[in-house]
Amino acid sequence: MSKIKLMLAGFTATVITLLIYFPIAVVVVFSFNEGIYFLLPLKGFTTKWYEEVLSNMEFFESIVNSMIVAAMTTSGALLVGVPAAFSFVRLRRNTPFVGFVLLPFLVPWLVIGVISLVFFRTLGLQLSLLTVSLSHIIYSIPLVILIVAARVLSLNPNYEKASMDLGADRMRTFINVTLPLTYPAIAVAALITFIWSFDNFIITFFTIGTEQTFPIWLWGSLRHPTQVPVITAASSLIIIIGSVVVYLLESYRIRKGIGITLLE
Amino acid sequence: MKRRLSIYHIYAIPTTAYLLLFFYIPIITIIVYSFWIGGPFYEFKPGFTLENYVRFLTSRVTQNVMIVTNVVAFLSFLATLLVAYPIAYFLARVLKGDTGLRIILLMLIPLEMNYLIRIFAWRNILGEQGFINNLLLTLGIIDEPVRIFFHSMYAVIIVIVHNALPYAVFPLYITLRSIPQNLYQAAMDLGSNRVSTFFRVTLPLSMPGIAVAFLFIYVPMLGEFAIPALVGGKTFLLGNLITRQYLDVGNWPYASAATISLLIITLIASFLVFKYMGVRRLYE
Repeated sequence: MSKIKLMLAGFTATVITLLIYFPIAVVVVFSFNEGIYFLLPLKGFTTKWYEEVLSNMEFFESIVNSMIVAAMTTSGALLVGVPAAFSFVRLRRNTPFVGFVLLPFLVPWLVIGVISLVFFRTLGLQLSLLTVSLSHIIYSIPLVILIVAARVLSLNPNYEKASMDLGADRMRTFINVTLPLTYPAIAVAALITFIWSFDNFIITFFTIGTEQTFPIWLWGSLRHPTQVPVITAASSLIIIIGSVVVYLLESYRIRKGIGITLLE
Repeated sequence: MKRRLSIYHIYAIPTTAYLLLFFYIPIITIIVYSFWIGGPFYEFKPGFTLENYVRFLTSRVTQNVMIVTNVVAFLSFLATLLVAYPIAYFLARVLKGDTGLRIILLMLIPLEMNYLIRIFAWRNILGEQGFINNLLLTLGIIDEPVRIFFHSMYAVIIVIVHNALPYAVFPLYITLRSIPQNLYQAAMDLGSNRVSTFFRVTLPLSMPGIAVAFLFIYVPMLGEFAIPALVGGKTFLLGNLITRQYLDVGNWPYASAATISLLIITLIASFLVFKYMGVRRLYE
């Protein structure tokens, strides 16, 4: 009995270390290695790859572009999606709307990428960071709706009833009571959308013009073997910063009990 | 029954408008293209023909691509499930409180980071000059680099399992957690042993979790092109075919027919999963 439990515990620990953390740890360790390739034994400690990355203009521009895209996507998706999260819950029996909203969430990203490409090119739109955001918002809307709707669903209806009893009309109740209660979920939705959009490669690949976002820069650099140490250092930087942000975000979520939506 | 128009209908307008304009109309656009007369290098003409679909569905090459894509997608799903299930079981039914959830969080942290970085990491671990070969050579276990894990379907599957694991563990965790303890006691009282309890109680009740894992792994795999391009060697999947037809060959009608076929498969899979696997119940 406890032998099975022990085996399960061992299996879980092994998988998490070897399959999930090990590859990332290898990248971080080798980013400080003198040599160009991932060869053992390690050749000696150096920070020169970091210096190279930090003086690489293309890398910096790609990070800035990714932030611009992520910021446009997040604001767009929140503006359009948050009100719909309320419709999603309150018009719950309206299944066609649910399906209509969820479909972009279920199709492979490749489909969103190519339909956007064809649509923009057919309209004669110049591909740019804006078109990237427009295509990212397609996927972000259901993402925002699912996170915020889960919160709306768990709200205690007595708060709204109390507000109405005390003489507020529907509109005031919504603005002064309902909406503030969903702020934590909206904040989480915003951060998740931002991170997702910053990192997205597949959709971006089709809708980007001549500029580079961070994933596009990575994709281009991966083709040049001499770039390996630079990518290693750049990746490690993103890994370290990303871990901190994601850890803070996820602990906040667990503390506030938000966003355990299955479909997310 | 006619319902009163409420404020919540108005709140739904921006989303409806946005998705209509940027998602549904573009889909209709490529449906139109898929019936045009195809030709490479953007030399396609308006018209109405079923030629693109016929070519996509009957050509030996695309049939092979479809088979390989589905095999890779299915093996990835199966491998992920085999790894994820014991972990989800341990987190949901052995650990107490929200420890399990915290461990899932631990699994999610590295995965919310760029997946190209992770593919890059695997390339450097599985490669011919990679970490594993290097380690084995240094230790004297092998004499020359092993190639099986690089530039192959197996490398693709390993990377997918790495990517998809938390997305399989999480829904399984939720379903396994929601099975009431009484059911186990009842099964035991009625003389069922551990093995038969697992197959007759636990497994059937965790089907919704398995179905969601299927949606998270199988469906995205049908459109994946970066992983095979970076670690897959000659592995050429549907995603690679569509990408090449749109961007390199420039035959939009043919590429659109392939995309519409992919979309239809996706819709059928999602519909079946939602309809028959009790996912809806889980979400509510």
